[in-house]
Amino acid sequence: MTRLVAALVASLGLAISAFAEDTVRGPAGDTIVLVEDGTRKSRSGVAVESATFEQVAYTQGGRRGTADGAQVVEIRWGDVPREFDEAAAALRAGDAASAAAGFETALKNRTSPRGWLVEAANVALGDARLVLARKESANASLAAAAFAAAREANPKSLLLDRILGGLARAEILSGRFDAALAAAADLDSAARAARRPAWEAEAAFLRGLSLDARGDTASAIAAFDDAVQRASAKAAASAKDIDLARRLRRAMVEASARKLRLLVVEAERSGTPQAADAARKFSSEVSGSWPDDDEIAAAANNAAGALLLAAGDARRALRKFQETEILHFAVIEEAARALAYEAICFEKLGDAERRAEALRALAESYPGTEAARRAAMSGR
Amino acid sequence: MRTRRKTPALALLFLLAASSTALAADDDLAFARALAQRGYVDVAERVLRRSAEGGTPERAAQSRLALAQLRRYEAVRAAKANSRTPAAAEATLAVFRDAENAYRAILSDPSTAAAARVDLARLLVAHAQFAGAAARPEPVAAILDEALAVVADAQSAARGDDEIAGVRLLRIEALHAKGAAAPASDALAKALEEIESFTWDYAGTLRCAWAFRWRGLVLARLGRTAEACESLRDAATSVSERDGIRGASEMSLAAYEDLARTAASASGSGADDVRREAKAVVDRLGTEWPRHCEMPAGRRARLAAAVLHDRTGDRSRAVAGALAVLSASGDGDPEAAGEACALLADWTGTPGAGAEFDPEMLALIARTIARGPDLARTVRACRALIAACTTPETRDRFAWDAWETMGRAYGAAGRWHEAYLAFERIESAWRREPSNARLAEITDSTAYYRADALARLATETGDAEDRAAAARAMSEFARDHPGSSFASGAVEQRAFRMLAEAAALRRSGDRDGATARGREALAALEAIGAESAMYDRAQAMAAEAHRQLGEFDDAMRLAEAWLDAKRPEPASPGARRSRAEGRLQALVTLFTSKADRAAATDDPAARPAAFKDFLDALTRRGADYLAIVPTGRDQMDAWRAEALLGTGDADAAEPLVLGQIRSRPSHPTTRYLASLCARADDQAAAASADAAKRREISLRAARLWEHVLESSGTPDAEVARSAGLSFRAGGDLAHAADLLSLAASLARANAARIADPAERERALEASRATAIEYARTLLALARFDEAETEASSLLARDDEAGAAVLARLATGEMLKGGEVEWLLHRAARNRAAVDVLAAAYSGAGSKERLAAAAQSLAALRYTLPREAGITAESVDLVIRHADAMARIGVAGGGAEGLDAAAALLDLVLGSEAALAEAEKVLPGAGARVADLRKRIAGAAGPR
Repeated sequence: MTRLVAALVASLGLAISAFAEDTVRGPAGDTIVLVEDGTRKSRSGVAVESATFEQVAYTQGGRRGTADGAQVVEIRWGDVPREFDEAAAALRAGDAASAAAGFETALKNRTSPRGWLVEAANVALGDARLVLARKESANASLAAAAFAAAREANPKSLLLDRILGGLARAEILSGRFDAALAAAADLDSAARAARRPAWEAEAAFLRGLSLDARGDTASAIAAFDDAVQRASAKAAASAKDIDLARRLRRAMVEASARKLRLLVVEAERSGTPQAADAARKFSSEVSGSWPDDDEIAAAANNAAGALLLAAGDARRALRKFQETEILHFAVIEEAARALAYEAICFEKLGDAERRAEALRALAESYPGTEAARRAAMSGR
Repeated sequence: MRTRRKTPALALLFLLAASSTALAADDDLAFARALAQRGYVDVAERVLRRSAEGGTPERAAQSRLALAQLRRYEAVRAAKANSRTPAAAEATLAVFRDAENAYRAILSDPSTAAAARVDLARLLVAHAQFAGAAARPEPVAAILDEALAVVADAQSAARGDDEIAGVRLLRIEALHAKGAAAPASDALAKALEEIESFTWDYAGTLRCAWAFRWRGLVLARLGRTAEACESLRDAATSVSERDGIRGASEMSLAAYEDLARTAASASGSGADDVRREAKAVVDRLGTEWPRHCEMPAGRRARLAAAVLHDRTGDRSRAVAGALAVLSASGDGDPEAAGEACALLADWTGTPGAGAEFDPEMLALIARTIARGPDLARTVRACRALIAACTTPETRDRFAWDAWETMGRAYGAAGRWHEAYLAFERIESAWRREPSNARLAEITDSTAYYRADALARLATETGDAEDRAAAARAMSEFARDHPGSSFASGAVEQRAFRMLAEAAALRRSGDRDGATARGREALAALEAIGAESAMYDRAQAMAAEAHRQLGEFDDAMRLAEAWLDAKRPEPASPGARRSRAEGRLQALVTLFTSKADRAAATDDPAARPAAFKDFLDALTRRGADYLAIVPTGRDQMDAWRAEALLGTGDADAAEPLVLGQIRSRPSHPTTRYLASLCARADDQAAAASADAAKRREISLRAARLWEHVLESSGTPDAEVARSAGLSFRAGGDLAHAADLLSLAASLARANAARIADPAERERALEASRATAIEYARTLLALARFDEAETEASSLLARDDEAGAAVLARLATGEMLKGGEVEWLLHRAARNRAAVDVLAAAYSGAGSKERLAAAAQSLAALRYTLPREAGITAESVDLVIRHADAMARIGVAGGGAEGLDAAAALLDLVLGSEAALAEAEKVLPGAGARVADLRKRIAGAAGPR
């Protein structure tokens, strides 16, 4: 989840999408980036009048033109206010509180009469609030409100994947799982209308996340399978479009890693050899499919460690978790889980000092992760 | 509470300058000051010590003060080092105590008392603050009470406004520290009162600024954060650089720092307002103290301001502030640089947060943090750097170094698996991209570290899989990085390490594991070919491997062969070094194999010959050894002493052993040799017919035993007993009693720790035997009361009824029925204790105690084995019994006692034949009987 947010946030400075109904004409300083026949093209010196996932309308040299929404990758706006830029930089630097304050200021002191700012600033504000929600849960509702405002500003936004994805995540953090499922379903519908295959796979992934959060493991696993299938079905056709191919691959990887985690949880819960075998088999499959992927490697390592731990071999399990934590520290959720597992291993090995050290490292290095929250809640 | 930081040289200058006003021209003091300023504190101390011991009284006093100040400086410096380990904290506390004692010793000297009092008070406050921060169990309240008492003395002696004001501020500081250490006390309230009075007395003067700062700190401690910040603001802004007031900058900048820290840690409803207002003040720092911001105090204030900015949600500004301090600190202010890096590592170390930073800056942070002991921070800083390296260029320039730094940091913490993983990351990257020049360069060393980490992990776990992985990694290193400076010798190093592991396993008690590892080591050593530069050393190590495996003859043969072989001159410096190491190893193996073989010889008759062989080898090859190890004379003497003791020549060995005690008293071999020599002396004393010589040898043995006892980490009961018995045999009874008392209590404590009942009973029996020896020594010292107590406690331990019987017996009352049974039972079961008890009663000499002695002796006689006939014991008991009864008569017991004594002598030793038999079994018995009869006759008189 954090990876997705980080990826979205990273593109914030460049890919700011637009508005639907607001037809105020802007200065001719916008740039539209689109993909035609797998080739990236830019149209600069345009004034975008409206932007939806169906169509982007603009004027250039006094002449009006349109672009197919499905082909538009991003719009670079020519009138981005300073507060917005600073807030985006703060968010990239990990300072979500400053970023949230900056986006709120940008919204309050709107200098551009164009509607894109309401939409884009609310999306970014929602992202910042989502980051803060990991430390303080009250931010989850604020994030949901921001995403809702963005959606209201442009229901057919080019950023609808970020809007509905963020909304689903905010609702999960707020414990409103049905609302999260509804957001995922809305994204699924929008994906078809917008002809965006990546959105389809992401919608299935969000559905899996929501079901997992609700405790419906079997349905969640099915949803993750669905996400992988949807992404792989489109992957072959998207070979030319590098960005789309990367996004589909990401969806497949994340869904597979999530599924693996659920299979391990099932194996731990049931304690049956069949469940352990199923987890092991799937782990080997996904490792074979994406041998160089950091996230898959981290998830597979943690899965192997968890199964060893469940079988009573804390010493070898510990080595696996250490491997995840050292080599794949950038896969935040998995690295945090590895540290939480390390603490359990040390406890079983009777090393109270190292156990405390692992928990301290979890709290200091991975604050706001699910594993850190759980460890803090259980008072370990 | 913040810590004052100054550069050591400046602090020392200040400290020593204070002491030197009266003696500015004094050469020694000036010289010592110069030495200390350059970091030669130990030499400076020697100079001052010499100066304190000679010269005029005034000069000696000033030198003692300077010495104390030097120690205070050491203590404050150690406290600043801020090590987290309990052992380091304890060491620092010891330095504090030492410094305080140095001051206490000079308080009574009028020429230095005034300066010493103020210094001591400051030192005590710093001591208490350090103990509190380090959470050590130190009597902080008592320390601060002493500080306050010293301040009170200083206050009454102070003259002049400046001095008085300074001492009053010191009192406020001590009260603040006491309030911090004991919040329940009224110290903070008293501090506020004192501040109130101070500001009233000095109203309108700049001195109040110092008091405002303390008021702020006291109020912050009381939780009145808003008021605290107001007061700290007043202190901070009361003066600025424009005013040009000397000495005020430290206070003002410290107040800025305190204000920022206090506001940053504010909590509760008004916290945001407090922080906002404080931020407005702190933001003026740069304009109020533009040049001083670049001083150490200014940097600390700016770092505190950065923390405040972070707390107010302005992380970007916080980071910019810390980065500015880091850039300005350079190498001149490592503390500020370290603190800035620590903050930056925390702010950039959470995943994703460092992405915006320049890798070059993150590399600087990582390097600075890695120099410290904080593993977690080092790892976070390295990870932030790695995450920020998003291009192949930055990866090559910074990321691989960061992985290496991380691996080394894990290794330094002894976390070998994690260290291996970090190095493995570099190795696997190189395998994927072998043409990458940077990776090829860095893996030359990291591949070795990787294998080394695995080898150390294997040593730690003893796991066969780990060992195999380590061996594989070392082979891969040798194969893949032949050009590495580590490559030459990697295989050899592995073999040498295996032998070291075998030795470590043996020391840990794993004999089977040690043997298996030793065999592997031997195979690896023998596999090293003649082409290796380390061939010579490997051959010698192979001999050593045989020795460690218990194959002494093979070891000796190979070592001799190595030493006798004619070899060409080594071709390279490496080979020359290997040759020298090999020669030394061969000599050591030869000597130790001979010693081990001699010690392991089962046949006692053959053992001296084996030691003679060892001695011959030492004579033949000793010069070779000393040529390689010119400082090895002590070791040679130790070997020679061992060999001489083995051959039975204790007289020749003893001077060597005494030499060892002088030159290396704490060496384990010295202890071993001292005990061997002591045992030999004990045997020689027992065999000597000459009483004077016997005593002299026993005393020599006793002193050796005493060294063994004192140089052991934990005192050994058996050694203490041996020492005590030797001292007793040597005639030093008082010393003997002390040692036997120690031995008895150690033996009892040892027994109490044993879980197995049978084992415990055996240990208890040994402890009782020692206690008996102790009681006998007390008898010899005529300390009869103590002997009686010891014997009584032996007889009636955990036996209430027995204690009652002994209490009645000691009053001279006649025991009855069950009491008699009890005494007889004890006389039969624990004769030695009852015997000592009877002797103690008898020695005490009062009528009651003599009656007790008579009853005890009767019990002992009654429980003699009937079939044994006349024995030394039976004769001795009869004479002592008769003696006791006779003395009762003399002590006022009437003629009955005398008659009974005479009757007993007549009955048992009345005939010539009986007396002759008694003399035979107990030489001197006849004379004792004659003497007793004479005393009886004399006491009875003509009747």
